[in-house]
Amino acid sequence: MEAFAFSVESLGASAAYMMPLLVLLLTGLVLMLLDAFGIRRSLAWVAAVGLVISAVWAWSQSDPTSRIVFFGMMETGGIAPIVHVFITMSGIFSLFFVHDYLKRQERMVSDVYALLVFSVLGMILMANANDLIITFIGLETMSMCLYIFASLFKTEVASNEAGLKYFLLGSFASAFLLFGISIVYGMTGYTNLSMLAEPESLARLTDNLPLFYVAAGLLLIGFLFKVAAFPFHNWTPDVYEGTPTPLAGFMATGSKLAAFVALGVVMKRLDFIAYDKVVTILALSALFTMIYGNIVAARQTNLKRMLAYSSIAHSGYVLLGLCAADIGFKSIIFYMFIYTLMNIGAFGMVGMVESKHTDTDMESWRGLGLKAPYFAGGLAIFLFSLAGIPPLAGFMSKYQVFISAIREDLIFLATVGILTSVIGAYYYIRVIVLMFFNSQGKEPSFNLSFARLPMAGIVILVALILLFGIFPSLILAPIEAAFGGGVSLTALP
Amino acid sequence: MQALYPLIILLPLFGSALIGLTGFMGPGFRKNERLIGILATSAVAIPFLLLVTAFASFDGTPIRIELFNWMKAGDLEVNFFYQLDQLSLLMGMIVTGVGSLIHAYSIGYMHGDSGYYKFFAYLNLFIFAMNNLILGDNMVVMFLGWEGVGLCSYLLIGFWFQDMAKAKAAQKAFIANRIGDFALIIAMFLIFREIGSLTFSDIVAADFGDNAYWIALLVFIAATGKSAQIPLFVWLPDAMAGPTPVSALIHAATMVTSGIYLISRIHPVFLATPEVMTIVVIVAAATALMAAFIAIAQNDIKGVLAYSTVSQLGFMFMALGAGAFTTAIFHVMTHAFFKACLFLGSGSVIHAMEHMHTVKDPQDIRTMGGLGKYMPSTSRTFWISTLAIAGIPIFSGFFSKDEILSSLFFNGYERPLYFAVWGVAVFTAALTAFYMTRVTFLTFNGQERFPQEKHPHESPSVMTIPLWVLAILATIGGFVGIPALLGHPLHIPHGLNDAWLAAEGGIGSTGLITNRASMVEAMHHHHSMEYFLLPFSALLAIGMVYFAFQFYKKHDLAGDERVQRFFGPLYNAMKGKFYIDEIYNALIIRPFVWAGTNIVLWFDQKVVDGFVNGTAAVVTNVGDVFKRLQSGLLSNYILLVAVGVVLILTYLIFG
Repeated sequence: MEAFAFSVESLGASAAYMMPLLVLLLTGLVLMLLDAFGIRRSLAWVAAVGLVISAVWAWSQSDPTSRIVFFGMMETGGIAPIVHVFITMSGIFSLFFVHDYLKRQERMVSDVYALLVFSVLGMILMANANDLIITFIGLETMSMCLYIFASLFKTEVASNEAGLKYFLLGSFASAFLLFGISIVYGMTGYTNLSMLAEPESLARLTDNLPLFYVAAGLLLIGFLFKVAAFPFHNWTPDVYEGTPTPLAGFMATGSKLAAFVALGVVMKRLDFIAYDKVVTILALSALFTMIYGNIVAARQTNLKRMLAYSSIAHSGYVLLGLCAADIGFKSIIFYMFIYTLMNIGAFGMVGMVESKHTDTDMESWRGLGLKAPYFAGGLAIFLFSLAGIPPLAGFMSKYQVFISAIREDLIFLATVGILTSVIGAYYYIRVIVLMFFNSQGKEPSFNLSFARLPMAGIVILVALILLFGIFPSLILAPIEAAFGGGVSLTALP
Repeated sequence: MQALYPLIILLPLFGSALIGLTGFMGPGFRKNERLIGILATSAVAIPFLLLVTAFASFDGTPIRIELFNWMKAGDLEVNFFYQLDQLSLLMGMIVTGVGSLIHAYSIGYMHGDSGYYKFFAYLNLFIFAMNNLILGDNMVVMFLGWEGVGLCSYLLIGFWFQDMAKAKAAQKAFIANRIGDFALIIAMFLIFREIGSLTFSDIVAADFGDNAYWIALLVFIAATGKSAQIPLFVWLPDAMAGPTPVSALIHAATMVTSGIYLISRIHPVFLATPEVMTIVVIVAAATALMAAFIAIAQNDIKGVLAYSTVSQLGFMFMALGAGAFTTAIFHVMTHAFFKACLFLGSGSVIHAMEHMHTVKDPQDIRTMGGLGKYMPSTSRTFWISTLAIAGIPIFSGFFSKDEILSSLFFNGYERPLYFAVWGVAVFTAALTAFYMTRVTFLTFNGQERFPQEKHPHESPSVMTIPLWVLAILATIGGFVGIPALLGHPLHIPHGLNDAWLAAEGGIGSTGLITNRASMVEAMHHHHSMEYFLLPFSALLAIGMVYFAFQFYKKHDLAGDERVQRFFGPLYNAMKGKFYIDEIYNALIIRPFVWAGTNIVLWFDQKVVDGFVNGTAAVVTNVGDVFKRLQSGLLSNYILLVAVGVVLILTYLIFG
């Protein structure tokens, strides 16, 4: 076993730190067993309890100094616990909507709960990995589950198409990522991120600059695909459309959060920010992602596709944050958490209206505000927040990202970001106008069933969006503490 | 006790929110008029009692109420901090004291109105805003209150908004005030640019140099809006469309005096610019005289009182223009007592006339007459207040008005212009005595001109008790109103005032205590004049009231015809309110509307909308192009991915 140039916790201590992950693994296995034995009544609750225990356990281990555990493979402390909690919350909030959705679709697929827990596990592995191999394993664990989500309704053509497309393009991207990892390994002899961050390894990487650029490019391509950034975004609308709606919300939030954190960690360890060309690629991708996502979203007539394109646009804002060095990294964790709350809410509500017999075409939502004002009001809050209207949390998250970018002198990108979010406001608010102000005497023909669980989820999410919009420091302060220094987000003008 | 002081600010807000929200949600609560009335009244009465305890224990050092930091942006830091000092304590007691009496009165007056809870929610909100205006320690909190009272005024004037005329009156008030508010915002920008702070203690201590002229002028323009002076006074007479308690509280006793309060608060800025002081005093004299003339020819009981308010506000501004800030605030106080009493009395009369259901216009004094027999309390209190506003000795108005007159007169030795203003003020005071006696006589005495099949009834005691309290205050307010604490002798004032020409340091930055040494000196110098002035104004008032009383006793309503003959063509102008609304309409409003419908509309439709639509068209077209890329075919997607990979790697390796 090779000697590490950094301190690694003993196996005993490592095991303690790994407990929150093991809880997830155990929960997934229990869910599979319960399913196998035909006990399917309260799978969602079992999954929820597992996720909550894991999140609380991880939170209790939060510690400003980051530690390397498990033979240098994983990181704990620092930002790891907070990322763990945020990803788990993405899963928990999705659970509010999944069961009811499947019931309304008359397809009680009980595998989803185990898959959801496993994919959360994969996401956390990927985000908190300290070794590129673990990053890759986490990414694949997550992706496998997501492929199955996309093709969950086996008998439906759209679902099969979505799953197949996602799988093929996803493996394509995994190959690029793996290729990039192997070049890095070839150049330095390491896949361990802490070892790669040593000056000696970094020097070896830059010895052969073109090869380093190929490696960096391939790593970026792999991650850009996972976060649906331009020009690797085109699977997103088709896949989200074919995926059960609440799970599409989960895909758009948890998996992206994990991928962005993993990309941020890799960028930081390999010091990508120091290479102008790499930053240029990232910035160009951010630029086109923001423009493309927003402009195409504005032309959508289907609510679910509109949300899919808007999630591309949001990836653009996060990439913008990634270009802004350390402070940007902080801001994107905040951004993705807030985005998780409002996007799961929006997808969840679309899912509540959808049933086997209705589509998600915007026209059929016309006049919903008159038929069900509180329901439509909830959706309006999610949409307003996505559009970035104060005092909702979506405004604060956009503000943090843009102000970080401006601080790092990315004025042009920030300007484009602000201008394109105006387009964003257009298509989000158009839905609100359709629901409330432009009914043309129509009322939606479909029946709304307000099951208790999803309604509770909506109330909680709306409350959180208002709370964090007015008191953003409730989230910013723990993020600051996790980073343990550097320029503070809260101290920005 | 100190710990309770935040309640002075917060209780009216809680009251407003509680009554407004509960009333909005629960129709059952709405019907419970007594509960609503008690809640609303105590939300104002408790702050009043707190202010009185603060006043009783006041030792000259300002009491601070520090709530929380409002905003912090760069150099600007705004706090929700309040300060109780000589000036704000007095204003606060007037607002909450008169306010709670009017709240109690409204319990009876608004009985049975469908918007009962809304009325009290607005009224409480008004008190909250007014407290911010007068107690705030910085201009931003003051401005919050300034805008807040404007909003409440709008809501309450248009309280019966189903009536188009009333809704329009509300809009007129709001727009006229907005013009003034705009000037105030610019003044605040200027102050912030000059000294980087908006706290009153910094403003009074600062030397603005040449900018003092602009700051003072802009603040005065703002004051002409809120306090109804030329040229922005036109909204106040229309504002009488609101329920009468609103006219009493907002449009007579409190809100309309905010301009006077603000100028007194930052008076060193005004003292630094004699030019603006001259403008103030001329505008004030013109306003007072014009409004008094109009009041003579009005037949609407509230209309007379409205123009009388404009005229009295003119008196207060004359005092400001003479540098007699203490005197202006003194008149604010006495005016609050007798004018609130007059308005509430008129409300009581209107109430009675409405309940007879036989007269078309319950506010027209031509259909009244002889009401005193049926409404003894209303009649007596109305007469007391009339004597007070006319300036009959012993009554409060005499002292404050006499102080204003002598402050003008003594400034005349330095600047002869003030002799002329003094002359206008004396003439206006005589007119005031005449028209107030006229309206009171025609309402309560003489022939009964209402249809005789029914006769009016006195209002319930919940309405008459506040009338009596105010009438007593209107009588004795001149003696006890300004205790020694405020730098005033407790007894008969000597016409003491602050000569702004000679003032050195002026009113202390925290309040009204004045360096009046130089003034006292000037007074000694012209000692004999003082002995002449005091009896002169007293005799003038007594004589005028006596004359008017005898005149209308002899001729009754026909007396108006003789008045008309006396004034000749001028009378028609007075009756037509000098056609100022029509002039504004022709000179400002119609050109403005024309420009709006022609030039601006064209600009909006062609240029602004063109730009917006053009952007939208670009987005749409680009979006359609992009959409075509999204063919749904996997091979196309893979192609795009491949192109992306090739481009990225090419750039990285060869770029």
